[in-house]
Order: sequence, then structure tokens, then C-alpha cells
Amino acid sequence: MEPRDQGLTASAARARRAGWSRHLRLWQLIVPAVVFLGVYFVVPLGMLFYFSVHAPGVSGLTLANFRRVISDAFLVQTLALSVRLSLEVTAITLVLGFPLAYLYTRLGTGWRLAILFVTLLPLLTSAVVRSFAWIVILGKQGLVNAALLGSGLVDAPVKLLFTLDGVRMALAQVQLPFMLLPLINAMEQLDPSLEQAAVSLGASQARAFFKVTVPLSVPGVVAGAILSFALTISAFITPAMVGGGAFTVMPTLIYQSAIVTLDWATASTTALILLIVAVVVVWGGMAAARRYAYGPGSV
Amino acid sequence: METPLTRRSVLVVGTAIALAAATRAAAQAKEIVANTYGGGWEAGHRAGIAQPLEKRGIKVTLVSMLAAELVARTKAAAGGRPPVDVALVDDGPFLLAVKEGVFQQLPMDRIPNAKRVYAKYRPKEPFGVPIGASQIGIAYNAKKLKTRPASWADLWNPEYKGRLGLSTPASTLGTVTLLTLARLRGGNEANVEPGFEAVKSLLSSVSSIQAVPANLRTLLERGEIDIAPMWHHDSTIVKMKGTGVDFVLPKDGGIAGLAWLAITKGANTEIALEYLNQGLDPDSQKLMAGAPSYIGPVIEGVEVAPELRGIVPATPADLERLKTLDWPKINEQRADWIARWNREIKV
Repeated sequence: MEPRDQGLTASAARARRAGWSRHLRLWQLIVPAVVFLGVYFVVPLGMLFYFSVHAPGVSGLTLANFRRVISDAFLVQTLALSVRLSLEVTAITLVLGFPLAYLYTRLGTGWRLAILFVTLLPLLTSAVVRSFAWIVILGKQGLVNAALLGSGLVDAPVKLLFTLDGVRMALAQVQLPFMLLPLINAMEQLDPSLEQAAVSLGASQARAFFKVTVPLSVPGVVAGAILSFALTISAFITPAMVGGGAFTVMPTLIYQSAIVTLDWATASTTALILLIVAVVVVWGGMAAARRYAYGPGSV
Repeated sequence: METPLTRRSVLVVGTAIALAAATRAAAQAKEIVANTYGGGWEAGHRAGIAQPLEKRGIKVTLVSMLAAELVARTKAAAGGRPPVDVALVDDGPFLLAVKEGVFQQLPMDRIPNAKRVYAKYRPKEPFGVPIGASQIGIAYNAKKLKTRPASWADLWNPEYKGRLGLSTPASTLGTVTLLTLARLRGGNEANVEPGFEAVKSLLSSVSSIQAVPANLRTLLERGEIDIAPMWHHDSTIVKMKGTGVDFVLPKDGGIAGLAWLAITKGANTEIALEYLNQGLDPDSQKLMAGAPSYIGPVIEGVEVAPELRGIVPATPADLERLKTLDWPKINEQRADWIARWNREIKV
């Protein structure tokens, strides 16, 4: 035995005596993740913060960038649109994903694989390719308009491409798996006998579903909603390509400052504001969900 | 481990390290990374520059990266290893990068072919060499539109309503389009107001505004737009696919855009200089001027195929008609133009 290992054993023994050896060993498990996030997340975030509190011609820390960016009405308007769009897309994925997840837990292996495959498929292509596909589907001569015109439902092509509706559809498609997977995970852990018990005690199927299954799936809804919201509010390529100049979202502004005009102070400040607002929205949503699921009135 | 450090083991390890370092240096000396804009640009640079260099034992890696992104990444990597040794950038980003100090000053005497460059295209400061010339004109689908546009003013033709595509000034094409329309109405680099007025009065004709000009190509092929201000090479690529798309050089003239090759600080300078010199070689320039790149040569005496004459700017007469822009002046205001476009221009 190397002396080093003996030392480790000895310290582990001491730790056990102190009663936290379990924690120590668990701690070692997350070291790689902590180091990875530290290098690739915390450090860049720190740099972002650094750029946002320094301004040219000002020595020391300053809030000038924040004052300048926030006082811009257009930015506030864009921020509001980004938040609204992300909430709407999250709502769409929830409305589509919840029944799908419920169905999933009640189907056989073959159907389950089919559902997973079809919903995960869009993730296998890049955002650019996916956006081109939406251009093919939603365009004037696209699949949807061809079907509508062919069936005689409309006389002229419906404008779907280069609209906010088109962007909502395109984003909901790619965020759906991020909602579906946590939902499936949460629902699979539910004991089906809970719903059966509610029914045998006189609740209708629907009442049992809404009073038992839905509240118990809230952890899955929260996890799915956070992922869907966060990915939508940072989406950049799809809103630009499928939106086609109909509107501006926050990531577009950040890209323009960071990449095109190299104004990193504005880019960092805008990015931090978006981050703060996103965190507040997510936190608020989590608090509301917790109240709904566990608070007074839900029992 | 009970091996004591002996002089011999130190020597062995030291030699191994020195050897490894030398091998790496040698390997590095024969390797180079350069960016292109992908598509026709990559094909042209591969045939015209990378392959001749590879015959001389130099390994060339071409990566696909647009100019603005390249400059931002190079700035972010300042002091460390740059993302590329040789950068392909167009006018605006080129000057921005020079201002940011991420490109090396070039020993022009080490790039003998630079003497061949047209006087009109020569750099004012020795931070890069031009590699290709582009001109902006109007691409339109002759199968779907009855009237062939002849001048910029024809963009307002009611027949084109709902069929026009534009790009935002976040791209070079969008910036040049804005200035072209400004000039049409008496504006210039110092007064872009008429350009914004012109774009606003065009909005009822616009189907889509794209941030990346290459997307306009796809929209044109898909029939989502049928007419758009576009670079001659992008238009020619779509035309050659037999889509019915044709390129018109408006009678009020085209505006030139130059693509530059520059060497980043921290690059493999020796090989990078060879890359630049190879790019200005007459054979290389001829290769890049043909299919599928259609990049205008920047040196005198390169012939282009008969069907490309007048489209790919090559002869002194072509150059005579091309207008150049005051990019230092544009760069000063570009952020404001982009911000204003975001606010005021909505389809």
C-alpha cells in the first residue's frame, strides 16, 4: 500500500467517525460535474458580468450599461415578446405533451417506442435544416397550403411562413420532447392504483384524472416547462428564419451586438437582463406549481 | 514507485519531450486552418488554394464560418490560439478586425502576387489582400415574373408585390442594399435616411427579410420570394440550377464588395503567407472565377466564361462601372443602422 492511500483510508475513517463519510463520498461523485460547469458555465457567466459592469471611458464598476439598455423602450418590448413567445410555446408543448405522456404510460412497448421516436426525431437535425423543412411545409407552395388549396378550403394560400404563428409551431415541435420526457418520467412513477382507488370511492374517471393524476404529475410539468421555456427564450435560428423579419427576439439583439458590431458591453448586459428575467419567470412558475400541487386546497 | 530520479532518466525524459515538441512544431509548420463562407466559396478555395498547397505537402483545413462570427471569435481568442490562421472576411468585418488589432501587419514583399492586384482593389493598409470581388444586383425568377427589372427603381413595380426578399443590415448584403437604395434617392454613407425611407415604401412588396443572405437563395428556389437584391455569385449559383432565376446588373450600376484574406495574430505566419500568395495566383483566380464559385478575380488578365461575362466582374471595363463604398464611415454607424432597422422595419 502507498502511504497516500493509507492516508485516505485514515481520513475516511475519521470522516465516518464524524458521521459524514457518506456525504464525502457523494461529494466526490459530483466533482467532475462541478469542475466542468465551473470551467464552461461559471467562468463565462463571470465574464459576462464583468463586461456588463464596465463601460468605455468609465473607471471601475458602473451600472451605465444597464441604465442605457433598460431605458430603451424597444428592448423592453422585445423582452416582453420573447417572454410571451416562450410561455406560449411552453403552453403548446404542455397541451400536446400531457395527453401524449398519459397515453404513453398506458401503451405497450411497440407504441411507446413509436411515440419516442417520432417526438425525438426533430432533435436529430440541426436548427438550420429544421427551419428549411418548415419553410417547405409552411410556405406559399408548401405542404399545408397545397393541402388546403387542393381540398378547396381556401382560395388563396394562407400566410403561415414568416409569421409569429409559424414560429410558435416550429419551436413547439422541437421543444416537445423536452416536455414529454420529464412528463413520462413523472407519470411512470405514479401508482395506477391511486386513480383506481379514487374511482372506487365514487369519483368519476375525469375527476380522478384531474384530482389525482394531474396534481401528482406536477414535478414532471415543472421540469418540462423549465426546459421548454429556457430553450425557447434562447432560440435564435428558428425565429430568424421562420419569422423572416416579422419581429425581433432577444437572442437576435444579443447576436447583433456580440457578433456583428462587437459591442460586448451591450451584448453582455442584454444577455444578463434576459437571464435574470428568465430565472424570475421560471422561479415564479415553480412557486405557483408547488402551491397548486401541495398547497392548501389541493388536498 | 521506487525509481529514484537519476541523471539518466532525466536525460531520457528530457530528450523525449524535446523530440515531441520538435515533431509538433514540424507538424504545425506544415498545417494551416482557414475559413471560407462555405458552398461555392469553399469549393473555390479548395480547388484554387488548398489543393495546390497540399501538392507542396501543406495540410490545409477549411472551416465554414461567416466573416462577422470569425472576427468575434478571433477577438474572443485574443492572446491565445486563434480559430484560424488565415481569415476570409468582407469589407466591413475586415476593417473592424483591423481596428480590434486581431490581424497581423503583412510583409507585402513576401506576397509577390499582390503586385498583380488591380489598383482599385489594393488595400490602403497592409493588413490583408483582396481575394475576390463581388457585385450586388437583382436576382429574379424569369419564369414567374413577366417584367425583367432593369434598374433599382424597378423594385417598386406593383407586379413584385409580396414577392420581394431583403436582408437586414446585420449582413454585408443588407448594408449594401440599404446604401444602394439610399443612393438611388440622393443619400450616401453620411446620409442613410433616404435608404430607410425607400425600404419603408418597399415593405408592402416584401415577403421576407433574412439575416443570413444565403437563406434568400433557398427562398428564391422555393418560390417564397421571386426577386431580391443579391450578390452576383449567389444569384449565379441559383441560376445554374435551371430554376429560371436570372441576375440583372441594374443600369444604375452595381456596388462592389471585396473579400479579403488576412493573417490572424498567433497564426502560422510562414504558411499563411504562402496561402495568400497562392490565392492571388492567376490559375487560382481563374479557378475561383468559374463554377461553382463565380468569384470575381482581383487581378488583371483573368478571363471568365462567355456566359459569365458582365456578371462576374473581371475586366477593367467591369471595374469601371463598379462603385465602391466608404466602409470606415459605414462601420462607424452600422450599429445605429442595425438598431434602427430592428425598430422600424417590420414585414
